[in-house]
Amino acid sequence: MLIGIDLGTTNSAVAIWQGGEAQLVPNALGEMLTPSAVSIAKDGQVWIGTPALDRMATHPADTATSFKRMMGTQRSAKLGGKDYKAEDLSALVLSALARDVEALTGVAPTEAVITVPAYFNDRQRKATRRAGELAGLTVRRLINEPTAAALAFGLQDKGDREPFLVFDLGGGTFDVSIVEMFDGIVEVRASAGDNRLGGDDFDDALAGFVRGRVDPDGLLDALPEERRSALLKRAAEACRRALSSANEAEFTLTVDETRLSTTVTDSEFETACEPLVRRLRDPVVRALRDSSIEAAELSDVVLVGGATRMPVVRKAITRLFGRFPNSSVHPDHAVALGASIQAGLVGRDAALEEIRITDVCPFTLGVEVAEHDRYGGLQRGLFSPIIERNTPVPVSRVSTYHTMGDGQKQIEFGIYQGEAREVSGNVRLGQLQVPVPPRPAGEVSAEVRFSYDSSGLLEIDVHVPLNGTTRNLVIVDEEDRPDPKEIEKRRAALAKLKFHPREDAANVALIARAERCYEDHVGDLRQAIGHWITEFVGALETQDPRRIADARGFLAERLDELDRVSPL
Amino acid sequence: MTAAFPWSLLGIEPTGDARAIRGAYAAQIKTMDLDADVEGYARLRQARDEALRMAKAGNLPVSPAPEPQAPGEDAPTPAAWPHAAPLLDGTWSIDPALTVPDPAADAATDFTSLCADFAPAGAEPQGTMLLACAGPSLVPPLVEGYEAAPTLDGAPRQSPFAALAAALAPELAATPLDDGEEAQALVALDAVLDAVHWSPLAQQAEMEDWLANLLAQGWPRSAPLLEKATEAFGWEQEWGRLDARAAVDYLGARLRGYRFQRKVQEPGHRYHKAWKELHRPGRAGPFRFLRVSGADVRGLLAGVRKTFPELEDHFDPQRVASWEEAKTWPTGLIVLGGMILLAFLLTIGDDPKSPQARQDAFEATVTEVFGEEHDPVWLSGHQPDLATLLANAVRITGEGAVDRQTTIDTGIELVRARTYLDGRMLDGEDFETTMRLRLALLQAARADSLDACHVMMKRGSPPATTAVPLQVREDERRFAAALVQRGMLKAPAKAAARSARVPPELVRKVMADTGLSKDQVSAAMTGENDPNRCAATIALLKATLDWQGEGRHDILMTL
Repeated sequence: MLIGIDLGTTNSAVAIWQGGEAQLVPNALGEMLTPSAVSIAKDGQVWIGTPALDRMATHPADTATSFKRMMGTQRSAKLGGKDYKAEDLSALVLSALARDVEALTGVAPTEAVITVPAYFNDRQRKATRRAGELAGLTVRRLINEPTAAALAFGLQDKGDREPFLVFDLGGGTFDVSIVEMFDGIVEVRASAGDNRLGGDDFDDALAGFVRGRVDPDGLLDALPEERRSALLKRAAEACRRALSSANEAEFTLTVDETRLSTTVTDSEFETACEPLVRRLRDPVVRALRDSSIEAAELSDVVLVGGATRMPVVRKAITRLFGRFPNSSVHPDHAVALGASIQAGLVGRDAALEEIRITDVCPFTLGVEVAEHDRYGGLQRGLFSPIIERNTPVPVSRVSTYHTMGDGQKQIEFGIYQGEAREVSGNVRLGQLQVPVPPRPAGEVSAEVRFSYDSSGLLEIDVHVPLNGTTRNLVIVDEEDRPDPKEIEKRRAALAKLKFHPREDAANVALIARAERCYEDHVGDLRQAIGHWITEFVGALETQDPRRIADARGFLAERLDELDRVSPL
Repeated sequence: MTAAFPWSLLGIEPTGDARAIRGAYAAQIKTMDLDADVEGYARLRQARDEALRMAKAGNLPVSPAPEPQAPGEDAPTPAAWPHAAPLLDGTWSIDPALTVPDPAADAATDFTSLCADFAPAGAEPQGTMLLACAGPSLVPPLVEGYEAAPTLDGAPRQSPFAALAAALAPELAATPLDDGEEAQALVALDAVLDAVHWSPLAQQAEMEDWLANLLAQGWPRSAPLLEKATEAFGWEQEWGRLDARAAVDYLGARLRGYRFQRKVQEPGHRYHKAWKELHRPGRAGPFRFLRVSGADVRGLLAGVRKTFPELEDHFDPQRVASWEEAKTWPTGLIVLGGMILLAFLLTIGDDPKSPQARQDAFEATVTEVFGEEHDPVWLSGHQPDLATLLANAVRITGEGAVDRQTTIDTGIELVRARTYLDGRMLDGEDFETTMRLRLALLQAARADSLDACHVMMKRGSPPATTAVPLQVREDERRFAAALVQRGMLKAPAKAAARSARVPPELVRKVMADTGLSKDQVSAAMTGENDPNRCAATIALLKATLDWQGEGRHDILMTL
């Protein structure tokens, strides 16, 4: 079975293509969105999704969120005393989503289409694919998030559409794609983005803005780093969400027994976000320019991603385009739905026979070269593009390079991605060497072929015509070829973790939530919450399903009441 | 016709109906597995784009060029933009516009539509050095609320766009803004930026390009406004990018130079002493190493030449020369090294990057430089080193096409410099011819502009934009060909800086010819940036050539 997964920075979702329709799959708590949060205790007990998010407040040292932002880097997060890379944590989320599908359909999925930000680089894409493998899923295709959203939007009525723009501001990444639809062909004309800009940054900006005001005595400074940032982040997120529907909101957090609070107005928030809002413009301009389409020619501006709910972002969009954006797709659901449509396409579903999608490679790919300048000096570190950005994919291009030294024995190719003329400004993807016969400078040439497939993954072949040497270096980076044993080892390590049985999910989530509420409140309320938790745990121990259900209903109601009155 | 590309691939008869073409493309693509047939997909896409282009152009069977952009009415031909942004990779000082000459006064009114940046990719090969510009970059955009509505007292209210355009008019570029003007310009800039901020995207882009061009053409007068505009538009992010707009890249290079200049003048800066040293007038004495580290001076000089070549104008040339003699650097005409591209791109296929296109450009260069009767074979037979140099100087544009004009210009510049440096080492008639050619070129450059004349004195060749009289070109060709024939056009030997005594009778002639006082003549001959230097040099060269006294040769060697 082939499923479509939106692996987001803040939330993830899974959808399936069934009976000619894309359909979201609810998780064990009945929710369509599963927060991309993982908490692992020292004993190996794992929480994924909403309960993990609640544990961020109570067990920050065991919990990680927004790990998608570390994807493709060497950084790791410490949870329950052990190090986990972004792909390990993502694999846990993916496997939870796969289990949700199994619970709904009775069939364990084995293959998946996973979405990635269009502006994810090659390393980040490969890490995402490894995450799928670690979760026991064969990744049939990686699809760009705005492209997936465009599919979901474009197939609403299957009619032709003039070029429209997908504005995808997620929790951690920002993508812009320009898409056109004609006779069932969904064609991405250009993509641009900023893979370091998202809703998280707006939270950080807000937290930075109010920090001095909400905590004049510096109570937060005394806390351990992870606890402090967890508190600030959660308060900022709650405040930001509240500001989406009100002119002002409380920024509130509880440090041990002390409650800190301040009021933030929407214009203050706007000021704090000004530099971020400014960064929204550049990718839009670039995508329009690359596709030679004027802003006025766009038939629609489609909003995707939770962060586009912010009025400050909507205001900026309205101003940029001189019109109101289209909100006809669900900003949190469109990407997963689009991924499942792509899954249907990959699986050659009959209902999608008339639909094809073509995408582009959103960045320039090439190699490092050197040149002699006219002072006779050697200019190193120049970037020679082989695949220009916004070339439709799949694509395969060849360039020829020559030796620069007499008797040179090998040619070394640094592989880069980016738009700077000097490689130092670009992302290094890896390197490869080819031995060549020693000859005078310039007499030996090597043909370098870059192939970029529909998933946005790069392959490189080098051919030396002089002696017929051919290097087929599909994988350019050691990290991208962890030996199968290594993958197996990591998969086994993940499998050793203890997962809550699915039927306990609701109870586990409720305890995590109650404990979070306990942290959030002080005084009598806190004592009362503690009491309710004890009662609920007592009910659980009786193993009497009816008593448990009653106690759960009671506790959930109390917590809902608290959440309603609390500004958090 | 039926079976011809692109229609055969699309499986339809030639048609001007864009819908039919896209429909055929859609039908074809649905029969393909794109991942299994990458080449086929590329060909199909090419066929569709070509068919759509033909349909748009009126369904002509062959239409070699894309539809030209509608030029403004008073700009029948795209004007070359003299402020093309130099590349930062060290190849840029070949651009003759280093010192930013004033654009021809009438050129300013010729920019009647936006710069060609927005042309569809590949529509027209753009040189890496010069960008074709076809638009009203200097006509202020119309913004609602800023029309010239009269104010209460009846005086017309000037829009900040018009105010800024007036303050930065290109013909004023060389004059710095005074304090009052600067304050007014900053107010106007704020208002412009505010208007941009509240405008929809399409207008923003237009205003941004307008402002970038205005600032670029108004440089260095526009210097005090640069930081603010750069910050407002985030231009800094565009610096050094493959697709940076010419004006933005140009301003980036200027701004970095400007910042460097400010920093290096602070005493704590690593190169502060070296900077001061190179500003001292006259030659450096034997104890210079006590004042400043030689490594720093060389480091500063190399850095400035690589990154901010315009700053070299601030240095005293004699001082620079005396530091360079101490080391292994060739003096003067640095351009000589020639542009040698060893790592170049040759894409397989019928791209213009093919060896044939390079060979053609090379042949054209040889013919243009040495005359119709000569070809590369002749050149290689007599001077293989020069042939290699010229063959390697073939320039490839950013689009990958061979840039014939720049290649030829580079060739002329190279050979002209060699002719002068080698020719003045000969004697008799050869020496005379060399100096007379020099005089003719100086006069041609002076007739063009003062800046062109300065470029000529600095590099031995006026900017490519200067019109050299046909007779002079002809003489140059004949002389260069004769030198090649004798194997004399070799890589020039390093020349030491020379000095000579000019006898009073020549000084008087120069004074009479130029109308300058004795002190002015003396100042002109010692200060490289002296505004009279050009006129004085020409007059002295002319006077000395017509004179047969003692020391004639020595005087000419300094000119």
